[in-house]
Amino acid sequence: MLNMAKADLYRLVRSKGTYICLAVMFVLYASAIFTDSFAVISAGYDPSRYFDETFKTDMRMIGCNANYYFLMIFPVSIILLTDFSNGTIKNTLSSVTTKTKYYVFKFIAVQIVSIFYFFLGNTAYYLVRRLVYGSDKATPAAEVFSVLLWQLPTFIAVISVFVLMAFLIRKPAIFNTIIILVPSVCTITIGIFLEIKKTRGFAERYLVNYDFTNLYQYIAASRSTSFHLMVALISIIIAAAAFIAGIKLFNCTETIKE
Amino acid sequence: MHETILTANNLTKKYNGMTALDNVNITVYKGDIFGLIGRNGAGKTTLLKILSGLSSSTSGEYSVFSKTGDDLRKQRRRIGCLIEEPAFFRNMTAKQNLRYYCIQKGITDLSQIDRVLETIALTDTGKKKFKEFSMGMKQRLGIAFAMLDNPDLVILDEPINGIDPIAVSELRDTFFRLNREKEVTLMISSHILSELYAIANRFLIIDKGKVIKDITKDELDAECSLCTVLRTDDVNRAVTLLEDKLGITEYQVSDREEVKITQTGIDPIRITKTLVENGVGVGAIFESGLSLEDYFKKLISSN
Repeated sequence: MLNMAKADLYRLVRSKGTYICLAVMFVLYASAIFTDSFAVISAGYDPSRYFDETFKTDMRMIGCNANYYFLMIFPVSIILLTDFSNGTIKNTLSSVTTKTKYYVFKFIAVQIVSIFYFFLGNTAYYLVRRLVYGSDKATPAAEVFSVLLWQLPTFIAVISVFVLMAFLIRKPAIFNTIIILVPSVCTITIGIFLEIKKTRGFAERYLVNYDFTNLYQYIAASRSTSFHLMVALISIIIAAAAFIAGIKLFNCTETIKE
Repeated sequence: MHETILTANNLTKKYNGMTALDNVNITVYKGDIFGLIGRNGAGKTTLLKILSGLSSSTSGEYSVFSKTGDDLRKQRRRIGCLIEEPAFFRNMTAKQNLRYYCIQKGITDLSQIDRVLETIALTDTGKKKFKEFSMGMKQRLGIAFAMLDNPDLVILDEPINGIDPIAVSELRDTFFRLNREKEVTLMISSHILSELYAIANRFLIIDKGKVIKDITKDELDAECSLCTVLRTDDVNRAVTLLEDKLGITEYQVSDREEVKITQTGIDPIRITKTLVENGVGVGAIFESGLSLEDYFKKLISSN
């Protein structure tokens, strides 16, 4: 697996996608720092839903980490989907590893790279903003990193579902289309539930706050440890379920589809 | 006694109710150049996919280097494969692609890349990316990949598709060299039967998922040597007379003026006399050998 990791790293640094992803992150955060605002781009959600004036801009920006949902299409595409679209998966499976080990490796690799981007972006944003605007206008670092760590299980769960879907779909164009459409579908579905009298209570209590686009904000704004723990637990269950389902399904399908 | 490299016992593969492989039994010995012949959809690629670990069989078992299951997985590095069309990263050069696989396979001697590229005459591609390669170049890079780790067994599915005649000839020499100098066992499927005949020393003919013939080159030559070629000015009448008057049923009309009679124990003088007496001109009648293609056609039609 170490050799597979080294090989993917060799390819990762040669891939345009890696630099496009970093460039998009740079533009996003540079705009946020330059304008001293948050939510320069928001993934179809209200970026100030849970925050009052007591929250500083940097924490509100960290509440907008749902943006990573779209950015993390890049690592999945570069590390995993290119193997399917180019057909190179057969080279690896015929000589280096088994299907199960391949899934486990790709799952871990995508997670590591995504988490690296997540912390790189947020840390760089926090440090540069603090440098530009001074520590008075910054949230204490410990608080920021505590929120990032609480957001991490949700982030990992989303990436786990991405990996599962990538193994099932295998075609980059279809994968990207579905991933891009999902937040809109969620928003519309929640909107419908909110409009229906019987389901409004349920939607307000659960769907709105636990919709993954709002959840990052909710985690950043909430001071409740029990809430954080519950979100972490549900996220771990989702990640584990996606991981197990992915291995089972991948082992059942043909490597090269007929 | 030959050392066995690969054996398959009752290998069966079913897809959606269709049987792609039906109780296939094969044995490949060390040093063999094993030619796999069959029509499209006959089951060649399915067999090669199973043997290369890309697909699992519905039933039956196989062993490579006398290993099965997990033990075989550890031996996979000794097998080089090119299944279906060559697949590489489109935006990377030949060297970059091979370097990726060197890293992945844990090959530390990177000079191996230049060696295999030289072997398949692909040293001058420079910064050209895989997506800009011609079909022949892609195919050669696929063969280079299969040879990258100095394998003991090389499985190649249609390796000479799209390669120009000179490159085919060079590849043939490469295969022979690998086989003779490094004792590499090769398993090659191809539709270009004349080329396969020139390379292989054993042939496995598959049709509709079943093995219909497992034959060595010597046996094939013996079986193909008996053939009577009849050149005539009226093929249609000639075959009617052959069947009605002489009871000859095993023949192939190879072109407008030629009939190849594969039935044994025939009398050329009697054939000539019968045809001439019935007003059919005979240009020539002589004994000839069947080509592998003719032999394959004959087997398939009788199956």
